[in-house]
Amino acid sequence: MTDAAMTSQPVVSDQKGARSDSSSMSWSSREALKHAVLIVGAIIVLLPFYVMVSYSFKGPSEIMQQTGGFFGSQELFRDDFCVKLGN
Amino acid sequence: MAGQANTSRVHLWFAGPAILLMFVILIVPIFIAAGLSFTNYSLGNSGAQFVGLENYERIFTRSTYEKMFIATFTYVGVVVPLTVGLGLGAALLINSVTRFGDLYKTIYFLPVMAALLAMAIVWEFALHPTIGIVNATLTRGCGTFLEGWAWYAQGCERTFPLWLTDRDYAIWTVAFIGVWQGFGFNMVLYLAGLTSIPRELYHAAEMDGAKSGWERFRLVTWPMLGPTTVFVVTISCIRSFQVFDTVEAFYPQGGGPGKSVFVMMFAIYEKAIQQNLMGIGAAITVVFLAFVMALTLVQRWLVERRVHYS
Repeated sequence: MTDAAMTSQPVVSDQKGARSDSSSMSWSSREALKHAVLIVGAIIVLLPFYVMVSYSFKGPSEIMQQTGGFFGSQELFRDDFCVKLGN
Repeated sequence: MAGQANTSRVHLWFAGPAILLMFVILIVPIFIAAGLSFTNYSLGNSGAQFVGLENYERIFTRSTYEKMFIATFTYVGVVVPLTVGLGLGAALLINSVTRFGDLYKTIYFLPVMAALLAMAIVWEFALHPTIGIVNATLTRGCGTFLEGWAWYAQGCERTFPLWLTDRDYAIWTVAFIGVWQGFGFNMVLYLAGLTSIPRELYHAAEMDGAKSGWERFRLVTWPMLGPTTVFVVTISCIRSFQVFDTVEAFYPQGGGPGKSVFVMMFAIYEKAIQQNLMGIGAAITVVFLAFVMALTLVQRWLVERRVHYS
């Protein structure tokens, strides 16, 4: 974890110069690294929500065969059981 | 004097209803559960026989309950350090970035707001061995540098794990979902704790020679977060001991493969509700309560004696 993260202080402009002088990594590299870590975490956190929303657009066969991308083919869902019952 | 006596009785009228409610709703059920734990009572039977410590003896001698303790403590042992560590790490990172902090907070807090039972069903889909996105994503990595990892190569050669039905993976998978769901809550608590640390302390530490971020964290941030950490650890422990939703959603027939996910809350439900063995269910409840009480007492002791720096 980087210096600014350890102290939990938001990096303000007057601290930038001083920190980057004493550190091997520049301020923007550190900021990018922090965002990279946070984005990886966010992807893991959002994964089940992605699955949930994606599956809500797909038909059963698309879910089983892992086809149709995120939105699926958007075909009307036909429930054979209900059709047989006349509903 | 009469006026004083009247005044001294007034507070009883204010506090009385709350005390009565607390007694009826919280204290009486504990005593009833404790009483039932010494019997073989089951719902529908008019009478119950006193069996002494037999129920407790079963809990501490039979292999099923040994698995219950192993599963519970494994879950707590994995989830508590990871939720606390990740919560703290996420809070420190989010507090230090200049942009998108609010977006990250929202994303990390989403699992806390979502109903765990519903999300457990989604995880069941995601972790499915054939249609799940997790194993599908892992399979895409076959043939790349990842195969240098022996575990990964074995997965590519045969098949990737059955995350929820393999007894070697089940408890770890459920624990991972617990971490996924829980660390956002700890992150919010730590963010609140971080905002209460005076900036002057960092300036003072810097003047005293604490130059690196690690030193400032070790000497200022971490000690000042002491009360928050004690609270977070206690809450995380209690929430981990209470895990039920995911286990019930994944393994409604009981305890997972080889009872490897047979956690205490599920054991109480299975014994007392599914099998109508109220006595043994009450005994497990009392043991569970003892753990939670011990944790709460340790927290109070730490908060009052050890962790205040302000």
